[in-house]
Amino acid sequence: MSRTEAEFTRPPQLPATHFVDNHVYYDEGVFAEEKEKILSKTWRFVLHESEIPEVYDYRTASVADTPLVVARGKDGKIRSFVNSCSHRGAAVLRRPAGNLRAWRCMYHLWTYDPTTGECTSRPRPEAFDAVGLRQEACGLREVRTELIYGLVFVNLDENCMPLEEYIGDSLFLQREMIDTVEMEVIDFFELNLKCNWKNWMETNMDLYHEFMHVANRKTSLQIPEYYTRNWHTFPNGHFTVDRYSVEYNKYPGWEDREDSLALPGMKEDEFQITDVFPDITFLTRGTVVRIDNQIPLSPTETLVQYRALGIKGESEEDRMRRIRDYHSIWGLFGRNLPEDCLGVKLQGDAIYGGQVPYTYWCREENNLSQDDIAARTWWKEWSRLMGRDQSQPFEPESTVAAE
Amino acid sequence: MTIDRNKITDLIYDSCALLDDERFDDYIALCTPDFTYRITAFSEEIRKPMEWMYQTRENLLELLKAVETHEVAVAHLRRVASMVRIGEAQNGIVPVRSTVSVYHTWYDGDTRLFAIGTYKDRITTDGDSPLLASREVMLDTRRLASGSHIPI
Repeated sequence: MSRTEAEFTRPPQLPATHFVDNHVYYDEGVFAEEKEKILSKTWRFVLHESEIPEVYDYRTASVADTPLVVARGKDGKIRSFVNSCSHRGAAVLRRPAGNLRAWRCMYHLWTYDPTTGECTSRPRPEAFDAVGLRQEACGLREVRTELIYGLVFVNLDENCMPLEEYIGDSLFLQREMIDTVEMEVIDFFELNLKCNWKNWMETNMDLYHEFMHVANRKTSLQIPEYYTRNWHTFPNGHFTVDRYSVEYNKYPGWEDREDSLALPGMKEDEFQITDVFPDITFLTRGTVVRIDNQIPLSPTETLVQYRALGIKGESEEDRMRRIRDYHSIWGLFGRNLPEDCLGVKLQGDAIYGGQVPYTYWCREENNLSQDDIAARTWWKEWSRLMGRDQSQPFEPESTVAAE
Repeated sequence: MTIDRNKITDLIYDSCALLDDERFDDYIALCTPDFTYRITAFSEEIRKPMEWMYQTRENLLELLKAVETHEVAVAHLRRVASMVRIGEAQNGIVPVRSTVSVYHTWYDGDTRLFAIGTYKDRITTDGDSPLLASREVMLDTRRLASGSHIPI
């Protein structure tokens, strides 16, 4: 039976934790508040340390609209600075990566030390000195930067908790594979998706959506163990799900994965996901780790970055096989990623116009793989930080936020 | 050896048009038995060359046949090859480079640039008609609006 307008627009008869008011996906005010309360207050993944292996290597990044440069100083330590000249604000570094012993703004030639962020020269400084603007007061703003398992995170909030405390035990299923051998980024690309950043994040915590993937229907969803895995939730909104073994040879043109390429602690055919609040997902398919992180551009536009991690120093042949494993399913021209792109596009097409009021996260299945417990855990943390209940975000007092 | 330039440019045209029309068997018929297909790009971010797809003729045909079973993210792609440069033949292989622009048209008629890059082809001219011995699509575009089950 179809629903009337009244039935369609009234809140679902579900617990408040089990549905979302869709305003949270497209409302400008909510997005602005997310930048203030979540995206600039939580630890955000920016790169893997292998991307800047040498002294003076740098990589640009963007966190909550703040342009950053992450660099390895002459002391080998990784630091981050706001990538904006102290004089007139121009971005000091415009390439995404490089190696420079000094950073010089092209606009008025102010120069900075990549290790300390200190301003080291200003052409004709006398006129600045005359008004008391001393060179030592013109350094770049440093941003708090910490590493765990080679993963580099930044936090714009200088008073935040340490990264290790924030992550807690949530990476316990990832740790062996990424921290017992030296890893490096072996592939990188971005998608500029016309979707809210949370919609992309949701694709990585909603295993019920995997029916959309033909490759999963052939290689995974026929396996009983697929459905009996457990989700594990952690403080600060993180979660992970147990592994299972994929039958790759069931998809036309695919072969089983090479056991010699298995990452430490993984079987070559195992699959595992860990989500770290607010926007990071680690997905591992036995031979390769994928990391998604997000740069929200507007309520309905998101830049998603995709990295693949492999083992540093392996043979060229092994490297190419690992990369081909990765791209066969998760590449731009792979079997699954285009379908995920389509899923979030169609959500946006229907929801962002403002006439579809609610969507559900209501599946209960004893915390097993297709239980929506992961999404509910994520939204609970979102509600806590925002002081808003995702099911009634414009109510003055939120039941979830008050917990 | 005299190269029939028209036949080579016709081959490049057909390779675009047949993929545009999703006539995958006919596309594969333009390829030699040992044809290989790659999509590559150079990452300014990680400062490395990247390979985003590698297929033999046999595997590419398998994947293309499976496209109809998938929820395809692109409605229609139009490949426009231009700026064709035909090189000197060596050992029966003619190297050919062309610029390729790919446009995506959604079901409502909205068209956006999907990607631009270069076709780096190796073409055999031994038989009656030239055939693709290999194609490397070197992409300039590294930030796309969507993935695609159908290669370019």
